[in-house]
Amino acid sequence: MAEQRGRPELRDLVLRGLGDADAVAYRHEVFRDLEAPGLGVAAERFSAGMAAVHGHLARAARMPAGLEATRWRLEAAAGYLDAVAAFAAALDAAAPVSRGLGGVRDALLAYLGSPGYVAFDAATAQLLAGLAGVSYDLRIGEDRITVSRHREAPDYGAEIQATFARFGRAEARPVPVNVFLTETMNEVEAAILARIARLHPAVFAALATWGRDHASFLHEGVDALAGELAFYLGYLGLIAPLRAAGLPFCYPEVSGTNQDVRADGLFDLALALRRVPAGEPVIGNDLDIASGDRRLVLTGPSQAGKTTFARAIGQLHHLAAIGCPVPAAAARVPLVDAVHTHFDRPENPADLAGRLEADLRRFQAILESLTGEGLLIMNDSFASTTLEDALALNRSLLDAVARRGARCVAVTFLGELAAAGAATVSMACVPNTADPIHPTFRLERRPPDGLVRARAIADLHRLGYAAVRERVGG
Amino acid sequence: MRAALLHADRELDLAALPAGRRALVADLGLDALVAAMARGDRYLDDVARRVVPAMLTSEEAVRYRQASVADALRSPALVRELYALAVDTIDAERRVWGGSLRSAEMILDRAAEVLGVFLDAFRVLRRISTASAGSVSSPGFRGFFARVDEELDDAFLRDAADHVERLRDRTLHVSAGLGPGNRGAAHVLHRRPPALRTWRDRVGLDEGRGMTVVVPLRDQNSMNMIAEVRALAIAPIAGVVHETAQQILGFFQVLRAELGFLLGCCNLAEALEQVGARTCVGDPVPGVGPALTARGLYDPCLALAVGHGVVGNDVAADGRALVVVTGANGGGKSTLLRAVGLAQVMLQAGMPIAADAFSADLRSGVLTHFTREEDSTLEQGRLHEELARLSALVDEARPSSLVLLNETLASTNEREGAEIARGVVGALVDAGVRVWFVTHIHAFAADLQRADPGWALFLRAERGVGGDRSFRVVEGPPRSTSHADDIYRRVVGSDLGPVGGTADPGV
Repeated sequence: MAEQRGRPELRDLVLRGLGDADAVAYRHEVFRDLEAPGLGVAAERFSAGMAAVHGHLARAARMPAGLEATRWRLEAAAGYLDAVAAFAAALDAAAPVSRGLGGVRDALLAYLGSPGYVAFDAATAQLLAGLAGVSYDLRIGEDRITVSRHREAPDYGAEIQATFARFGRAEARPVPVNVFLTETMNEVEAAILARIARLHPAVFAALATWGRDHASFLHEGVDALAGELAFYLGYLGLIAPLRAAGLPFCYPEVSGTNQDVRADGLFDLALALRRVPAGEPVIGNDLDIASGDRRLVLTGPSQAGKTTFARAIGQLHHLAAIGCPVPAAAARVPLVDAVHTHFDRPENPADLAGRLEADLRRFQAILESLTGEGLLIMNDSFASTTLEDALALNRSLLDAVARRGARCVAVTFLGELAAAGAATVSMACVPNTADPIHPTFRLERRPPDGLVRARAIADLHRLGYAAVRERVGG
Repeated sequence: MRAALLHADRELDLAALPAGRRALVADLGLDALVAAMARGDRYLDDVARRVVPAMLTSEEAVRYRQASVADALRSPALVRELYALAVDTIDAERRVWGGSLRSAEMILDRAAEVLGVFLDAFRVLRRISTASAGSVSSPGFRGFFARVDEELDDAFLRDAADHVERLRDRTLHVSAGLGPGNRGAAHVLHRRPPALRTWRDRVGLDEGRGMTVVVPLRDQNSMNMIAEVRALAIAPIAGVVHETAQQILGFFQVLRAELGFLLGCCNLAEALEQVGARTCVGDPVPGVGPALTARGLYDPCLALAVGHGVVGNDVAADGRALVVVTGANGGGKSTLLRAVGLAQVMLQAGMPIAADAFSADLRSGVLTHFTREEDSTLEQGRLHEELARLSALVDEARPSSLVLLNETLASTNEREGAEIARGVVGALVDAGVRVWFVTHIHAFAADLQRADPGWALFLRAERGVGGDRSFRVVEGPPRSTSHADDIYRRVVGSDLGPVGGTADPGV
């Protein structure tokens, strides 16, 4: 359902672009359906229910065949029947508009009506009721335990509580006493269970029969459905707290042909996931690049939002390509075949020559797979060499990128790169005139300005122009 | 079963009470008061530190507490006997082996043992109650003994002893159902059935032979398996009995805390009596207007420190929201301020008060801002630091607070100080806060006195004949000098020179 074909792994769903505007639309439809509160909650419950089913089955598989293992499989069956029936009912009631969930509803309803399912459901329910009615008495000595038929008798624990109730301070909180239990029954427990079975022969015979009749009950399609829903639910769950905090997400207009990029209030999803729980603000920026603009150069002081913005642009393209809502108020995005990144990694400063070579090799590898539909994000690439070398390397490599027709976003302190031809857009950080110490984290179309930080430091020490005039006097 | 010796409607919740704010403790000298109550006992110290500053805010609450304290002061031996019982019982509980064990079996065994300890204590409590009920008159003690007689009656003691006996039985009788994985679940404990069943039961058709699982006693592995089954069956009842034991332990802990405070009051009263200092029962004044009248009000900590009675002051500040204290250095201004703060705190703790008579309206809290030594230099950083502390006080202040300011704003010049003081003090008073302000800011005090608002009272540290300090503070308008010339002359041996009527630097 996540894709129209096959059953891909979750990792593939997240990492691989779809390369097709209709496939993106298919996912958008499913996302929109799941965003309706009723259906979203139902899908979450179904997902959680199926996870519990697999937990029980795995547990049963780890123990020897017998009354205990069969009971765990029965537990799994009960959870499976509940999860499937509830989700089918929710889909039926919600009338999904997406092609994906519409198909799921039809398939589930057909499955629920099939004779095999109906019989399985009835047999399971009857057995569960029988087992729930089993009761027995135990006389537990130090070396022996006697099993007998249950006789009604008062709850002695309640009597003790009643006697001492006069000491009830505040509300009595029950003390949970943890009992360490092995994963499977020990031999004494098994022996007790065998004697309980002798007291209730019919129920236990039914359990054995059920175990033989329903050795495997999981429908393969239903199982796959849970895996694919995890992709949608995972992403919606991830962004839910951000939305609650007022951050915008939208379904981008995705085009396979138009190369315009436009995003209002675009923000860095990864940064927002860290900042929102801490109650810190997240600042969005607008992006507007025409088809012909092939290079976007971001300049400004450090720690002022350049890298964050570049990262957000990369996320915008990738999330759009895999059919997810994007972190912006409104967006138009071309389909890219891949988002490549070349980030300066200052991990081994001692070995500058070796690092330059490694950086170049990484870039070379990117160039080899870069196509005209690709996007490259560069972050302070080759910043560790001399200024001239860095400028020369960047110019040469940017030309190579341009020759491939790919679009490139470059974060750099080299303002010269912003003045390199008609296809280049320059964006720079907006200085904070009122409070030069604290950056605005806003970027806009403007020529590079390398002096912002120097001025801020000067003001901090009262060495700005006005301050120096005042202190010097005259 | 509640203790409720300190509050009519509830027990003392010691953990919920914060220790007094550090500034309050330091400024009022509470450490010395607490030390006199605790006599070196760390637990009593902690109780005093929490209970003394937790101010009672209704007249009834104060009077209830005062009655309990009066009983305690009349019968200190009874207080000590009950306190010892609580302490010994808590100690005995702690000594029962296995307090840190987690297994259900251990928890149940220990809880049964602990119930036995408590049962012994209940019997002692009954005996004390029978012997002493006639000698107390406060609703706190009378109610407590009445509850002991009623709730720890013979029937209860008999039932409790029976439970303890049954819980020690190594054979359990439970009923259960099937839980996840067909394991035993929903265990319910039952009393041991009658030893002999009927003939029909013994040849019961359903059970027959082979319904008992027996393991060899010496096989550790098998014994562990039985233990697992026992644990599963015991867990619910272990939780119940453990919780019961915890609740009874809680009762003795509360009892210890409440008696600990009363014992502290006995200790303090005895200490003050030894140095010849008088105490009185305070009079809480209901109503909304400001009220504070005192006769012979003194600082109990000072009396305890010097070892003899000290000069008391009379104050008639009914109807006055603001009391401005000016006058000579070393003239007893700070001592008076501490005495006022302590009297208010002790009134609202129901404690004996260091005065011949004291009445005041009830406040929700006492907030202090005493100038520290290092504040009294003119330096920019000091003012910032001082204003930050003052601002923190304002954060805490409520209309129902009592605020004691001692030389606040001494870290700036008089003009700035007066300006800031007018704003802060004026705003506090208008909000309904009662303010005592010991100050050298003449510009503030004199201006206010000239305006003569009826809600302000002016006290002055009195200057004895020839500069001799009498340590008395009397009603009187502020004067423009703080007698620095006196002190200067005494210390330096020559005159200070003219002291102007204004301290404005530019004049």
